[in-house]
Parts: sequence; structure tokens; C-alpha cells
Amino acid sequence: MRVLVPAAALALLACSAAPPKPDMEPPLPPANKPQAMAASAGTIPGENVLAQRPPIPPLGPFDAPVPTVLTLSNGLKLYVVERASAGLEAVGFVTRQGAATDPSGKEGLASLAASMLQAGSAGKSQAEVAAAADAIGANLSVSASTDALSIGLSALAPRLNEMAALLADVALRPNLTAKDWQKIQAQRLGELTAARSQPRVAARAAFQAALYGNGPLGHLPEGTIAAVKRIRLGDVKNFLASVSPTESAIVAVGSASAGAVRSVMEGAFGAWKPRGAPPSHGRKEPTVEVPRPRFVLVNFPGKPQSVLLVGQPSVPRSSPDVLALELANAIVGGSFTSRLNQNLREQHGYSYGAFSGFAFGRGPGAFAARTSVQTDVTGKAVTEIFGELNRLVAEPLSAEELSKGKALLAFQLVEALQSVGATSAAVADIFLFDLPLDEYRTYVSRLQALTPAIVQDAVRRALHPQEMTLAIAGDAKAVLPQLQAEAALKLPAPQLRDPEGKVLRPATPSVGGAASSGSRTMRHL
Amino acid sequence: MVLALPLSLLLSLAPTLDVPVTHAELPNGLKVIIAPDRTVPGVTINLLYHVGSRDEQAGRTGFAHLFEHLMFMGARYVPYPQFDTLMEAGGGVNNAFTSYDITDYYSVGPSNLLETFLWMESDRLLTLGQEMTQEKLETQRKVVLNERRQSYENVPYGKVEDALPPALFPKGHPYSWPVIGSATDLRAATLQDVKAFFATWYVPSNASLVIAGDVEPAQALALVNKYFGFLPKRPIPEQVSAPLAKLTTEVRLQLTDKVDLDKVVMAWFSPREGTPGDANCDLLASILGQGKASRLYQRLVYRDQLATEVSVAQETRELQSVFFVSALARPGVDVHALEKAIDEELQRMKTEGPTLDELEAARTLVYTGAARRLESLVSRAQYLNQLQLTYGPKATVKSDLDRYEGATQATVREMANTVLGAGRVVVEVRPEPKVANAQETK
Repeated sequence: MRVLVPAAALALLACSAAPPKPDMEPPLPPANKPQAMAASAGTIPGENVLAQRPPIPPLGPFDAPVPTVLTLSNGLKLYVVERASAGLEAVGFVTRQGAATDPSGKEGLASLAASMLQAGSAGKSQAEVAAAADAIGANLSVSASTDALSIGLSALAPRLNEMAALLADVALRPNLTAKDWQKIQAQRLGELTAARSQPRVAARAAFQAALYGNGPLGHLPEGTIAAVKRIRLGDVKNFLASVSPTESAIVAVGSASAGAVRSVMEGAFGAWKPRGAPPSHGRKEPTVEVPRPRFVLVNFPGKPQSVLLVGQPSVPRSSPDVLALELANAIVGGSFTSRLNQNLREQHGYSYGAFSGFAFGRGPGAFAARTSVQTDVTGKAVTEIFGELNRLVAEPLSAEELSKGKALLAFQLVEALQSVGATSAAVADIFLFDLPLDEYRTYVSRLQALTPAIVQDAVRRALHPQEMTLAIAGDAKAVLPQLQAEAALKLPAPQLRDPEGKVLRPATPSVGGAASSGSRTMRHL
Repeated sequence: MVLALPLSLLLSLAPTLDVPVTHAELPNGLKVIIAPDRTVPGVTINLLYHVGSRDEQAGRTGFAHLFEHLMFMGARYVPYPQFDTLMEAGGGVNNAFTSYDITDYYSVGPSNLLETFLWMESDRLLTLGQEMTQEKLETQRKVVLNERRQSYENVPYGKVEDALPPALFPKGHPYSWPVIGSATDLRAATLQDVKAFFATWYVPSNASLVIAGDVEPAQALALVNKYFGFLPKRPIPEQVSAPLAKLTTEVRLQLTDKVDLDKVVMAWFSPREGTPGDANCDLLASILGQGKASRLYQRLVYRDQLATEVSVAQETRELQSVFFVSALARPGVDVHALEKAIDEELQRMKTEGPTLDELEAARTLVYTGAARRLESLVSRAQYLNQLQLTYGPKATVKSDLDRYEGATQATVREMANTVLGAGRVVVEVRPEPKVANAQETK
């Protein structure tokens, strides 16, 4: 594989796999290679057709879908996109209650509630529900992200009735038996144990905990082993009982009309009434950690690479700066020709790829640059990453970069809205983050209005490299002397964390022979 | 047992998945498929070269994939790094992958980039070898060694990928080393290797091109002729063949890794790509281990709580396929307990076969999976290119899916008996002794 498609690299950042769209100004053609070069040795008849760079004709507009919104009799909102598809129909249920609402000490609750929704419903066993989904070819997925619990499935039409019935069973009528809870909890503990040996997961966990501390965002949605052991079935029941129609929505994308979807969904969901307390009973507001540790490390002795994350809390999805920041990100780390990837991969050969992304949620969100580098160049790689981030803040984007970023984001929107499943997720974001219904329709025109000055202002508000946190999962003994040698980074000694992100020792460690020489900042800050 | 009503319903679904295409073959042997779709304002081109890791020389494992990276290092008219910079300036992106059998390149972007894409592909097909330099080779050698570290060496259980092929296939068999190759061999590759490999395999007669998206077929074909028609006809490279490998007894490997849980991976030989047997193996894999209703998930993960996850796959290949079963243990569960439970379930399948409901669900999942593969331009074009390689120029999605219609409970059971025999490789992975987690004890 030439490039590892960076989608799943950081769960935290997954929701910034941001939709964009087409309608671009053709970039200025750089001067063509001189004809003289083409005429040099080894040319063949007809080859001169290559000497001329092809024209790029103007592009027509892309009319991204605007969902139709209807309301069921119980107040549940229904978002419908009717469109041609490859015979597939997607339906989804989404509620504004995710891992950010996990109580302190019970991290992983929302995600376990999602798992319990797949452990049997409406008197049918876990196996029977899974078999019912398979029978219609549906990929049933239930998951909890930071801000939402989502259920999605897609199948070949005409299966709308069966899909709606299955969706409602899973969303509204989980069995929640003690026996199934024991199985789901034990399986999660197995998964979390497996994750401890994955440096990529450990780096994310340490990074997120460093950014948000003990606040509601300070953990991965899957939770930690200790917290999952503390969670009881009663906690899951309370969580699910507080899911209400007014905080939830149904999404349908495919060939079915809005009227047809409404009638089917009214039958499946219309009788649903809230089962328990209304949501947001004294939940903690998401906070960021102050002061944040600048350097956290999870030790994996003997590993050939260091997993690196550099970033900080950012702005919520509701910020007016979101689009400008997406554009800046496309240039610094959101594309193959981005500054970070060109620097770390192509120029220096430190890495297979280096990327960055924003996570924009209801809470403070995050920015992170991320890569895996050879262990023996970790120090130099960190210096290069900070160098690129500093440059992004210090200098405006060039006109060429601005144009490239707009073109890339514009076509990303086209790609993001190709499948019914991805379109359904994009439409769910409209509900989750209170976006305008024409969010995607107006995307390109809003993008085109951005100037280098607007982008730089947004970047300066959002990104402060001198306050960013570096998280490393790698061989402490090998990398710490390298970081000491990079004196300009002025990094403090690392805060050591376990693979789940928990602080191991608050005091300054002396890791192996690492501290034998080097900067004072490493030892004493 | 004979299939009742549900199948007739499914039979009617398969044909609706077909996409209209135009075929052509240029005098130099380049095969062309154009699949217009005016509903998406984008276009993709997919170029498949019939060369993979199976075509590598001794001492040069991993070379086909290293070469794939070099294809982006610039040619005569689009010098480095313009392949990427020109493409991204217009909103397009690209990627590529290498397998045992093929190397596949795609570009995708706004539909006004079609001509640019074709121009860039023609340039590198004609001139890449002449423009190759030691410096370009060194740049991508570093990148690929880091890819190897990131995707195999720094991943739990990644060493299984290195250990399995030589245990399964006899020495010298084209599938007896992993696609990523060994770090030693990657370091040994020379500029001369690059030029020779390019001259042999990267010729129009060994390539097929799919264009999918917002194009008018006649115009697209005219552009293909403009940019590829003048390329000289070159000899068709001879494709490798190998006698079917066989295992009559079990081969067992015992590895340790920096992990917390045991894992077992089993592998058997299975029917090659595109055959009805291959389709039966897909269905068998689905019934045994794909999804939360599957037999191994039910038994190992849900009921007995021995496994954290299970995975079953028919890994389809041109010469001979491989059927994999793997399971990751729960904390405290030994790899042999996993094996015992897996073997019991495999035996039950061999004795009883699947139920009718299981078979019909697996078949429906195949059709739905094909529909999902057709949803995006990139995966649609890749699918069409793979189809023409496997079945010939007139292949359709239907011709692929037709293979599944003939499967019955009896044929799937028979396939379980044919494939899941005593001759297999079993890899056991256990945690290294626990000194590594020093961070926890300090």
C-alpha cells in the first residue's frame, strides 16, 4: 500500500473526516517542461503528446443533498435523503448521549450500553437479532462516540419495513439481562486487555487523558479495565432509560420517499415515550486539563517505532472557525502533499506517513498531528513536527496552498457522500451538532470565501504550539536521550503513563541511562 | 436439501447490481473498460498491472511493492513530485496497493481531471524506467522499511505475517514469502533491478484500465487513444505458474510476542479465485466466522467466552487460495483451549453442514457486499478491473455473483470437508515472559 489511508488513525479525530466538495478554480499551470527535454534521448513517435499539459476545463456545481426533516408524533425527528443509489438503503438512529457523558469512575459506560443494545432485543436472543440482520444482508453497527450513541444498518431495497423494525427493536427494546451483561462486560475486559499491547491505542489514550484530565473527555470511549469492572447493569439501564425522543433522531438515505419513510418509522418508533429521567441531570461539562502536561510517554521497550501525537484541545463544532481550520489542516497534515507528510516521509524518510486532523464535537474538540517514526529518529522527528506547526501559525498560507486546500476539501465532500451509509452519518451530524440543513449544499461557496488572512486568524486563535502536548508510545530508554538533545524543544521530563493513559508516577523519573547528559529542562521541569 | 422460496427472490437481485460498461482493447494490448455514471461529479481511473510479489526473484522479496512506491517518483514529463502536486492542486488524490498477484493504481478527483490522470499514467508507463535514479530508490526504500515497521513489526502478532507463507507453501513457490518482503531483501534492491522489473512487467499488454464516473464513453475512449494509443506494443510477459501445493499433515509453529493474550491462526489451501469452489469457501467463511451470528463467534466469543475475537476468511488468489481461521484468547485462556473449540465447530460443520437459513443469509450478505463495493467510484473501478482479470474482458458483476447461486447446503458442507482437512498450518502465539512491562511494576 502506498499510503495508509489515515481514517481510523485516531478515534478522537474520526469525526473530522470532514465532508467537503467540488467546484474548483483550475490551478495555475506551472511552466511545462521545456520541449527540449522531451526531445532528448529515447523518445518515440507520438511521445510529444505528453509534452503538453492537458487543460482542466471548468467544473459544474455539485448539489449536495439537503435532507427533508419531519417529526413523528412523539417528537422524534426524521431526516430523509431521497436519492438514487446502487440499490442500497441506509437507516440510522442517533441520540445525543455519548462517552462525554460517562460518569467519573465509570468510563466506558456509553460504549457498553451500545454493546448491550446488540445483546438481544424484544425477547430475541443476541444470536437471533444478529441472524435477523444477516438475513436481510444488513451490517448492523452500534457504537458510542464522544457525543453520540449511533445505530446504523444498510441493506438492499426493498427492505425498509424489516430495517425499521430491527432498528426499533435494537434501539428501544433491549433485553438487558444479567446473563448477557456478564458476557458483554467480560468481552470488553478482553478487548481492553488486548489493546494494552498496541502502541497506537496507548498513545491515543495517554494523549486524550493529558488533554482532558479527569474530565468527561479524558478517556477513550471504550473505557478502562478498572472502570469497566466497576460498571453495573443498573448503570447501563439508567443510561438507556435517559435516552429520549427529543434528543434523538432517525436518518434514512436511499430510494424511499420521505412520506414512505415517515409512515414506516411512525409505525416503528411513534409509540416510544421516554422511560426515565430527562437527560442532562447534573452532568459534568467537558473541561480541558489546566495546566496540561507537555510531554507524556507510554513505555514500550524494544519497539522499532515511536507512535507520536502532538496537539491540544481545540474548538467545538459550533465555532465559526471550523471551515478555516479544516482548510489549514488540509495543508499542514490532511493530504499526501501536506507539509507534515512531505517533511517526515518524503524529505527525511523518518516515517511511512504523517498526518493531522481536528476533532470537532459538542465539547472542546482537539487538534493532533500524528505519525509513527523509526525509534532512532524520534527526537529529530518531533523537532520537525513542531517546526511545521510553528510555521503554520507564523506564516499565512500561500495562494497556491489555499487553492489546493479548497480543491481537495471540495472533492472530499463528493467522496464522503457517495455511499448511503456515509451520507447517513453526515446527515446525523447535522442533527448532533445543530448544523444548518444546507450545511453540505453551501459547503463549497463558504469554502471559496476563505482568504489566507481569515485562515491565519483562525489558526492563531486555535493553535498554540508552545502549549501543545507531545504523547509518545515507544521505547523510553531509546527516545529520551534524543529528546534531550533537541534542546530547542524545551521539553520537560515526561510524565509516564500506562497503556490506558493513567499517570504512573507524578515525580520526575530517570528512565534507564537516559538522563546522563542533556538539557536541564528535561531533568528539572 | 433443496432451496425453497428465498433463493428465487435473491436470484432476482443479482442482475440489478450490474453496471453498464464499454470495452475496448488497443492495438498495443491495453485493455480498457469505461463505466459511465453521470450522477457523481467525479471520475476515477484504475490501472491494474498483472504483476505481484509472486513475480519476485530470490533475494528480492518485497520488490513488487517497493516498485509500486517508485511509480510515484516522477517520469519525464511529470517529474517528481508533480504526480502528487498537480493532482492535489486540482482536488484529486491517488493510492495503490500490491498483492501476491497484482499491482493496482488509482487516481480519483473532479471529473475535469480525467485527461490529466491519463496523461500522468501514460508518462510513467512510457518513461519511468529511463528517469529512475538511485536517489529516488533510496527515498522510497526508507519509506517502505518504515511501512514494514508500522504495519507489521510494531503491530501485535505482526510476525505471523512473516512466518505463515513459508510454512504453508514449499520453498520456491511464488506464494512462499509475504508481499511486504524481508527487510534484508528490501535493502538489497538495486537500480538495475528497478529498470529490469519495469521493462518486463510495465507494458501495455500487461495492463488494464478502468475509467468510472462522470464521463461520456466515446470522449473518454478518444482520450485513452490519445494518451495510450501511441505506446509501442511490447511482448506480453509470461505469467508464473506453479503446481498446486499440498499439505498432508499439520505444520505447527510456536511464536512469542510482546502481547498479553494468546492467539491462534490456522491456514489451509483452498480453491483458486473465480471458481465455484472459491465462492463456496466465501460462504463457508461467512457462516463460520463473519458477524455476530456466526458459529465461531457464538461458540468461542459469546457462549464459552474463550475468545475476545474470531476471524475467518477465504483469501482469494489467482494460483491457489488460502482459508484462514484465527482467534484471540480471553485473558487466562490458553491457545490450546481455543484450538479445541475451533476444531469441534469445524467438525460439526463437516458433519452437519450449514442450515438453510445460514446459507441464505451468507448469500444475501455476498450480494449486499457487492452492492456496497459498487457504491463508491474507487471501489467500483477496482472491482471491475479485478473482474476482467479473473473472468476475461466480457465479465460482469453478474458473472461473479452467479457462482454463488449454485451453492447448496450440500456443496458448502462438501467444501468444508475438502478444505478443512488434516493438512494445515497452525501458528500459536503466546506472550513473551513478563519482564517487558516494567512500567507497571515501577
